[in-house]
Amino acid sequence: MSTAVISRRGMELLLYLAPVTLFYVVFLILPYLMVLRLSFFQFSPMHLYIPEFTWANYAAVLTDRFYLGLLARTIGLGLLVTLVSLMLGYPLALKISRAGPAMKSVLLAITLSPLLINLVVRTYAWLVLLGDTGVVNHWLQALGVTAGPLPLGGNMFSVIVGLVHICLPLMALSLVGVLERIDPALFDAAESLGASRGRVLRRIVLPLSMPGIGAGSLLVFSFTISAFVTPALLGGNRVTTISTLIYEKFTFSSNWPVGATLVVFLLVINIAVVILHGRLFRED
Amino acid sequence: MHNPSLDVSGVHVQYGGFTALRGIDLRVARGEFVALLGPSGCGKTSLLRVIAGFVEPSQGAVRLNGRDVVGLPARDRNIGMVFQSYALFPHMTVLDNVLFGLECRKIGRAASIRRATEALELVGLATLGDRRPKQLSGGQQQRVALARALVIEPDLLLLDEPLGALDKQLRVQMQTELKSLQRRLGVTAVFVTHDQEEAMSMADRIVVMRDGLIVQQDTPEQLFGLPGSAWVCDFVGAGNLLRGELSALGDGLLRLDVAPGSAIHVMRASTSDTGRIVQVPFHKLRLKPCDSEAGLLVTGRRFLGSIVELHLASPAGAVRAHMPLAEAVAFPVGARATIHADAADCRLLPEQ
Amino acid sequence: MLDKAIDLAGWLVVLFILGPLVIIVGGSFTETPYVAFPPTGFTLRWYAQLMHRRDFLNSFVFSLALAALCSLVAMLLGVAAVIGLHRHGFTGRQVFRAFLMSPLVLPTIVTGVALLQFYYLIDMDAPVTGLLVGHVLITIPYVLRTVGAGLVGLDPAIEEAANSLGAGGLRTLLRVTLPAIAPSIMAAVIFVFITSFDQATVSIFLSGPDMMPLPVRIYSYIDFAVDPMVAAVSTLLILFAFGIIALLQKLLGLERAMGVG
Repeated sequence: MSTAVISRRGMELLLYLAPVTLFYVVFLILPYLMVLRLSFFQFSPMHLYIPEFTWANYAAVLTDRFYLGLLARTIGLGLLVTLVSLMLGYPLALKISRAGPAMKSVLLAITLSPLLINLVVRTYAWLVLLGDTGVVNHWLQALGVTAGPLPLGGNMFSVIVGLVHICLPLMALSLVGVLERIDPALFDAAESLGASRGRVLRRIVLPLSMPGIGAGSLLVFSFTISAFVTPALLGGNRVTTISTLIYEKFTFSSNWPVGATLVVFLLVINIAVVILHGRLFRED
Repeated sequence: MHNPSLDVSGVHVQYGGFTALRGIDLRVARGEFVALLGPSGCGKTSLLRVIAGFVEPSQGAVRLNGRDVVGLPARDRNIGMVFQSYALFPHMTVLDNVLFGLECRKIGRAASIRRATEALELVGLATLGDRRPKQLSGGQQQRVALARALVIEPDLLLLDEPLGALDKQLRVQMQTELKSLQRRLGVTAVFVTHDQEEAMSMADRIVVMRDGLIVQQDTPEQLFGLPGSAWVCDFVGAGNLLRGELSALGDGLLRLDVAPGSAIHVMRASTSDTGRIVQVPFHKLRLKPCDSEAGLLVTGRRFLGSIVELHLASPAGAVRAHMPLAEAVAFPVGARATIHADAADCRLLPEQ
Repeated sequence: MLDKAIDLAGWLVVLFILGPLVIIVGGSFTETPYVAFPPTGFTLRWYAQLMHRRDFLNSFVFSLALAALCSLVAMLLGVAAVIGLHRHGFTGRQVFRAFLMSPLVLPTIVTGVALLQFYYLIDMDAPVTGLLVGHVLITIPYVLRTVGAGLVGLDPAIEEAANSLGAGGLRTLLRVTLPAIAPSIMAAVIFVFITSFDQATVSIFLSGPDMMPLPVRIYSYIDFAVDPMVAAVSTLLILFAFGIIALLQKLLGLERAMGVG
């Protein structure tokens, strides 16, 4: 009797979970394993690759100054975008968490809406703003601030601005999440004990929002180092990151093994960041 | 009252269209322990927050040791406050919590630690300084909150439902401790509660509030013995309230016929006494067995330790009588009785 | 003082978030051949030009169809998975759920590349199916998250009540469970639809010149020219997004729908 029940439950479970499992095995696990395998194959200009085992791709990435610079630049870009997003996101999140109910919905809608607007569109906006003949340079010259166009576009600066704009909502929402959960009585308590607004911010709000800072930073960093569309469009072929080079290796130059190796590095950095985050922001 | 520690006069508080306080006058003497008692929404918490500096009154003055503090931020008032949720800083140790107020006052590290340790000793937690608040029991957290508020040597201590989150047994114990600590330190204190027992057992004076107004303020004994209105009597549980036709018997003596055979006599205190509701303390109500239908029906009984509370239905309202167990056996549920009381034990009360 | 500074900084950040979008919308009406803000004059010329671009129109229709198909497949796979995970406790359930959520954490570009070389190696020549698979893979986690949240909020007693009244597993599912979480299901459909409709990174790797979703069309057009026509199509997409926001707000409340507050 009981075995019959269990097997019926088992059948039902299979019915529900088998399709999705099969889908994931075929289209997620298998392709990822194949990329991994590809990273150990030899490059061939004629046949994309030769299926013979080699460490050469890894050796190349780990010793070539070009690739090391690429890794450093991508990680540096990630750190910088994370820092700027945090610095801009924090006041916004504070403002949202302190606002009255009506203002709060408006501010949240403003913060959330970019997430639903097409990434290409958001990137295009900065292309229009920051180009040599773009809106910002036009304004600066019209106001007489500068004589000629400033090099705002097609470089690291525009890539950072574009990525920060895209990452801000992620950061701000993580921060709002923790700020809203702080018991407002703590602020009253600190104030009744004689704390100034600055001290409340430094000693109460900031330490208690660390989990949100951690979660937001993880999101933004991971997104930034893997971002492709924004650096590709705003970098004007001058800013290469791991992602843009992966694209290049898999399309124009067709060096799939090295491309696959870069994919592995990108994944390793992502995993390392998740582990590091777990260590740093572990709940005690 | 000479030189009151706290002097609140004519305070009004408006939240949007809602008036939380409408003309509060309250003076608290140095070293006095005052309870603000009232049902939820009566304005007691608003009053506490006005005193603390978290709410600005739309009208009126708040003086602390003679200094007008309206407009002064909470951080500059030197008022210690114990919050209902304790509001301990979860990311700091117990010691750091207590040190926080001293840190804000820029007191040297060594002196601060000495004072904080003393404060923790005072509440019996000297050994738990390096714990986090989450690792403490509710009662211990309550004591940390108290130590944190006291260590700054406040001019006034405010407590918002300080024992509300504790279970009953601990609450009774903490009432005694809190009271004796306040006595010992001689700190002026105001606390908010909705629990009349808690107010009775701790406060020197109870301020009863209703709908943003103070309706009566007295010592616990007076409040219980001589409630000023039927509402206060009912809220603090100071006796039966009987309503009905009063017939004048001359010389200020009045009679309320509760039921045939059950008449209550009461003296009008003065010609200006306009009360129409008769208050009879529960323990002053006497019962006599009665076989006829005219008697009041005993509808229930409840044991309160050594005495029994009998519930009777009457046309003048539900009636309760307290009596020793030995007497109560004569009145099982379903029995009938007539009620009696000495006129000297009864009073006339106005509705409000 | 500090509060005022924070408040001001907050407003500046709001300006930073909204400014570029406002400039795109405004700039789409300019008479100049480049995007100017404030726009010089007023014209609908760029919208008219857009309406004559067969490639953009085709891409728009294709993106709609792809998103609809993706919603259907992702919902079928995802809702079944959510129900299975919800109804049956088994060892490793949390790990399995994390596995199903993984496309959300894995870099989209890597998923794109992985599928690209996989299709090549198995010699699959079905570009639409290839795109669809990529989109389904990255949208299933949204189904799990949104519908899962709806199920968690559901009183388990109502399923037991249905069972006690004699309803079998399937009847309980169709008549009680699914209707009870209908708002979450609707929200999930919207999320999947918009995520697929907006998806650029995976599509860039998987689409060919004949079957090009709208974001890829815009992407490749931008590489070639930054004229106000792109501002016009962007404005339409922004309007589309606000329509979605209004819909989500109406169905669930925006904050709940987006998983905050």
